[in-house]
Amino acid sequence: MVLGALLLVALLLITFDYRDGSSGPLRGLQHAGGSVFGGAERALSVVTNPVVAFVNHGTGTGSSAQVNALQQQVIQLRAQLNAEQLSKAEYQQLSQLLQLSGRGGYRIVAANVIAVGQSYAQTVTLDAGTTDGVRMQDTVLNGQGLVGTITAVTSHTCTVQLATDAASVVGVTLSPSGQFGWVTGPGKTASGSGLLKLQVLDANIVLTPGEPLVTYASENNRPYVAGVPVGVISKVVPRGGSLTALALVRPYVDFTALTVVGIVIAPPAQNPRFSVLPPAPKPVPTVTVTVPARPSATASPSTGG
Amino acid sequence: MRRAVLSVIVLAVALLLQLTFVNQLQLPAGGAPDLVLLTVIALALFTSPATGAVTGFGAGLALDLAPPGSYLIGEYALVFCLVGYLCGRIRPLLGESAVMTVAAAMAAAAVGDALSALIGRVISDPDVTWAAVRYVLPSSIIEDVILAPFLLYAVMRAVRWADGLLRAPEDGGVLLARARPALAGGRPGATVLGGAGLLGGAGWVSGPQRTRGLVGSRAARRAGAGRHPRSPRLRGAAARPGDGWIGGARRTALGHTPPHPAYRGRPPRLHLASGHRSGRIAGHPGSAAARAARPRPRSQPDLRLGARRRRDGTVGRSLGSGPPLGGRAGSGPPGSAFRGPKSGAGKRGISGYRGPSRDRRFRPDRRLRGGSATGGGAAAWRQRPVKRVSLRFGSSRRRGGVIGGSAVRGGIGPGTALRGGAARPVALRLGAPRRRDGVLAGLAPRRRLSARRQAVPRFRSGPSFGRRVLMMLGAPARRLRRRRTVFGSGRGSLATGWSGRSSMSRIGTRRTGGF
Repeated sequence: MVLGALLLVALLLITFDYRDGSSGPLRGLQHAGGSVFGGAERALSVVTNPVVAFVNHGTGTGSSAQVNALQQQVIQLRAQLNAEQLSKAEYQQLSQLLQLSGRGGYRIVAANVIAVGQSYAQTVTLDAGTTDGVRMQDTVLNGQGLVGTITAVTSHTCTVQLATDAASVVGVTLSPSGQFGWVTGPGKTASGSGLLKLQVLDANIVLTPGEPLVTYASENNRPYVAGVPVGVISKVVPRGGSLTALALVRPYVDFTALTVVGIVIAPPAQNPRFSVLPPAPKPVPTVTVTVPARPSATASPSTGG
Repeated sequence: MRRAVLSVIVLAVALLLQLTFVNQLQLPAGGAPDLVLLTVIALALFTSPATGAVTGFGAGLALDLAPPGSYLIGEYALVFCLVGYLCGRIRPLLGESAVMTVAAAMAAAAVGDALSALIGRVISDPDVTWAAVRYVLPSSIIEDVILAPFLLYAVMRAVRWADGLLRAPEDGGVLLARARPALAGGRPGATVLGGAGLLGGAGWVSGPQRTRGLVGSRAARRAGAGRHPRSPRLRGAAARPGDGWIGGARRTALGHTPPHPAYRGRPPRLHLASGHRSGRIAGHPGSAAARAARPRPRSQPDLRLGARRRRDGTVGRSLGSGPPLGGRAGSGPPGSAFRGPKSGAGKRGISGYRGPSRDRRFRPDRRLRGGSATGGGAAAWRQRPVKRVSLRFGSSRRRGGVIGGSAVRGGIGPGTALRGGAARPVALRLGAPRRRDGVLAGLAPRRRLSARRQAVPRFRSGPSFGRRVLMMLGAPARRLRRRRTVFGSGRGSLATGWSGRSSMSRIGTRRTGGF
């Protein structure tokens, strides 16, 4: 009896939620739940985030060379940020974020990931909300590139649909050619290991691995502002008779290690085009020096000259 | 109530940890353990199906609403509601076995994971693709199954701790004694006693000596728990009136009727009519005891007849040791005194029993005492004459028989009773007990016996349909049967055959016209 009633309620909720879309009483319910649990998550994340960072230590991105190169900016950032609360990794991410937003002219609000969606969901919760100027369908990025878009917001938290979500569709432009296409998320699968799927409208285009993609401006810059780096083509998929060209895209962002992200609260005045893209990796000629061993020299180094 | 509060807290903690911590971990495989699901399972395994369903629904809805939230609100509410219900449903089948409980939790975790994937598919959550399911589901099932026992244990400890809070400074027994009738009958009381009830069972099994120690203190409970695999489990059953008995055997306060001053301190009695309830207790001796005693006058005359005679002969011999004074708690059902088999039982008892427990069995009848009981014992008995009488009576006797059996084993067949000294005494004189008596005397207590005995189900009203189905399924047949207590009408024959009873034993059975 109880079971039947509860199951009915659950099914009704699912139905209403499905039909309501973005309005209706369930949104109020969701908002209330978001406020309550979001607040708790914010509070708890203060404790859990360092733990998570510790547990996941070693899997972070970035090389020591980058760290050195950014040292100066990190120092500048240190003046503006609450130094004690941020880890070294966060400094790095923030500096990259500021760099990127600076290049693109985005005005951003920095936020921390405080909660991650359950099992199959590709969503995260950030600790910034309407009080920080965040609104629905703002673009979310980090120092590497596009993260996702805001799908729900409360006063102090917001929820991001990651670009890897199976329901996410991002309009993109290919870097050299300016061709349009769109990228869909893979969901949570092992096979793609997080590779996005790119489809390009031009049936005649020849895609080549290594081509970078940036977002294409959405209408009113929502849900995506223009010019945010998305990823590079890693593999071209045989078309197999379809009208669109297919490719797999490796995103710039490591979606499994999100910590500090930025929410674009004001789009750039003009389309940054490809200016935000990271410099293409140039093959660096490796210099190999061969030093023949000279036994005599080792025998008497001081006099061997 | 206390449990409800605890459940909310535990679930909230699990939910927040899940979202802010567990889901962020980069585990080798795609899945992550689902703390909320495991918590729901652990809580539901200690409650009724309805409560389990409510718990699951609430937890699932919270998970749906808490940011980042699910694809559609109600998704997890649906899944967890089902899982909670199922857990509550299978709980009775698990018995006291900790292994079975853990296995059930593991199975439920796997089912829950699979169900959530299935629901995701059904409502076409874009993220739940077959590829994603293949990637995530196996690892999440493995992780959940591994984590299930730990969470089960943690939740169990939390519940016990919370239950312990209520107990406060006082002993369980004292608490029970003071409990108001309403409390005793209602859930709160039940909750409080949860632990005590379990112990009760254990204490009973362990024997009267223990029982005294078990009077409800935590330590005592633990001791009892040690022996009994079942004790660690939090059961709804604990809450039943029976708890009162064991926990504070002297105080029968937990019965439905408010404890009458006169009855206080009496030894536990067997329930009369309330077979269903007591039956549910699944053989907890305590259950029987919890009921308020009937008016004494009635019962006495009846009992005396059959009992005395047998006893006279029996008591004289076996009682020689002399009943210990303190024995009430241990004494258990008064009916025990009457056994014909006592002579045999006594011998056995010497080796296996603790002395005191045995003695207690014997009845305090004046007559008996005069003849057989030692002087010391006699004094003790007098104080409680009333009780004994009540046991003798028809219904109680039968039940007593039942209790005896179950109590001994801690809920298994009556046959077990033989092992523990305490159990035996339980057998009532009348119809049922006799048979058993016979068994005790003549046969070594074996499991088989217990099984047979059970076969003699004297169901008072017959098992409910559901129970019958379960019995047919075979699993918990023993327990199920036992629970129905007993009117000894019909099928005594098998047991009777075993008993080799005398004509005396027949008295009171239906065949002979009974009382």
